[in-house]
Amino acid sequence: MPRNPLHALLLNKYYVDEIYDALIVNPAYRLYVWCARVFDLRVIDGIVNGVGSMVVAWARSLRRVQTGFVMNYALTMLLGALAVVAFLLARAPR
Amino acid sequence: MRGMALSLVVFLPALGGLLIALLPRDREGLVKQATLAVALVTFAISLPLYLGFDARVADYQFQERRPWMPSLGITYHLGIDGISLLLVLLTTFLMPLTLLASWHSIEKRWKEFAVTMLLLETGMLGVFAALDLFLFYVFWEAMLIPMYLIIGIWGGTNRVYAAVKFVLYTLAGSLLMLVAILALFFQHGAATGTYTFDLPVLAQYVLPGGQTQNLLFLAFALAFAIKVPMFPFHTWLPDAHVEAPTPGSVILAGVLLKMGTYGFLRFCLPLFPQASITFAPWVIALAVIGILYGAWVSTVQPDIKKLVAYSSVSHLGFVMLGVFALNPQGLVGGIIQMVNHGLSTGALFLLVGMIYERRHTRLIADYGGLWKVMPAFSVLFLVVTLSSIGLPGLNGFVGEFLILVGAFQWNRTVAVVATTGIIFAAVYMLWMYQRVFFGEVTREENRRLQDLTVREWVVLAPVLVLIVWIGVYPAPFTGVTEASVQALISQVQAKAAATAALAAR
Repeated sequence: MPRNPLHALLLNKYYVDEIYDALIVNPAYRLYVWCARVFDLRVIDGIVNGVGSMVVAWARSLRRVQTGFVMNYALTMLLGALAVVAFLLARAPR
Repeated sequence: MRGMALSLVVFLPALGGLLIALLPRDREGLVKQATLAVALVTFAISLPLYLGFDARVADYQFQERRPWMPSLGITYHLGIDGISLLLVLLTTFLMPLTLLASWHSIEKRWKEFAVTMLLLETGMLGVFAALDLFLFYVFWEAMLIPMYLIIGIWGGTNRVYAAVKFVLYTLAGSLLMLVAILALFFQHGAATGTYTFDLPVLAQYVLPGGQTQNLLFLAFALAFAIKVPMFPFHTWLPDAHVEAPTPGSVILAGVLLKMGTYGFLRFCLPLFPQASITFAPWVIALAVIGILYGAWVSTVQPDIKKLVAYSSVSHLGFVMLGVFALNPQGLVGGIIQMVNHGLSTGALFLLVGMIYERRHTRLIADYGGLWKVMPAFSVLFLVVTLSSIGLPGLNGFVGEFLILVGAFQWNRTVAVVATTGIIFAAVYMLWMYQRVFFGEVTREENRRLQDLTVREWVVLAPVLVLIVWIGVYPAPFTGVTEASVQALISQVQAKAAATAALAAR
């Protein structure tokens, strides 16, 4: 047990280690943890995995079009053909 | 046979793999010996490439050129120069050691594993030897399949996610590169009348500067940057490394990552010299960010394998820094550092694999005090650790020193900031080493671990010999690269000047 403040100061090596920890080691460690857990896993991998899930979601919504009812397909084809003809007629020189 | 020396080295593993596929599955001992024999013979016949290599000649050697699809301008063109020679040797050198390390660690489907590994070797050697853009692209993509299987079949619990991520990441970049290859093919054909994918021919052509060259450069650069991997395209790497089995990690770190840096050297610099110079500050900025960021993220990893994986981001940042400093020291340093990283990080993954085989955990917290239990293992791990952080006298120092000399000439501030990366490397490696090997044995399970077996000594000893050899006397390795590096720099400068002159007219 230190007997007085001076003894405590000497006993703890002028608190150099504690000062280093507080000023350099701990802030640096927090920065590294932020890089590893937040920036790497949330930001970069978030974008990477986000692109992946976007494609999956897009494909899943497109899947609804494939109903298996031939009549629906025929109707879509007819509408498409009408649109093409309308487009060509509108553009045709008079 | 001299006319076919390179083809033989490239295709012998695949041929051996096909023969091994015919062996009966229940004769596992025979399969293992045959696989190792194929890899050893491949290494043996690759040595004449070094011995017969003329270091004074900057041009491609052991060239083979045969028409393949003449109407499309596609040739079967192989050749190596001072830039690719060491990478070919690194591949053939690491493969037998890796197979020997998988002796017991691969527990299922050894035969299929052997065939996959040998096909992978052919893919990697082809990437380093191909001098036709089409042929290069075939090898580049073909190599993805075996690696996908190795991670996806023999990997850890989250292996499928890691394998798919690896393939999609890489594919996104390489498809852009394919478009750029075609654009270059047509641009060159329209300008000169010769439609060809032949790299030496294309490299003669001075592409007009500006937007076209910049876009082509960026498409190639993205494909290679993902492979390197450069920050911020690196997140496939920790997943792939952690999930891959030990041999997969060794080959991934040892050879595959070098395909990215090699691509910059072989394609980006000579084909798009002006764009390379334009974008050099950006590439160097990403390289330096990668050096620091990779080291920082390594520091706080609880898993040894993940720590080593992130350290690759940092080390490859050094390689990219040297390459884009675009001076002889930087480039030679970059090439040597590619070899060094293959040896040191390859050895680290081998060592982590050995301890994993014993304890089935890779968490730093599960170890402590291993020095008392496994002294020989601990010493070798220490030597490799010191080599990885660039201790003078071991290989890492030679590469990092040359790179920093090159970077210093490019820009002093950049060199100073990059140098701090070596300090951070010491932080994460030594702190990990301290927690795993020093202190008291804290876990009962660690008290009875067996030290290195004879087989493990055989795996590690050759790597350690090279680590010390390159560290003490690097001339046999740097010497073969210098002529080609000098020629590459003159080519980049001459072509960049010609592009500028073209624009001025």
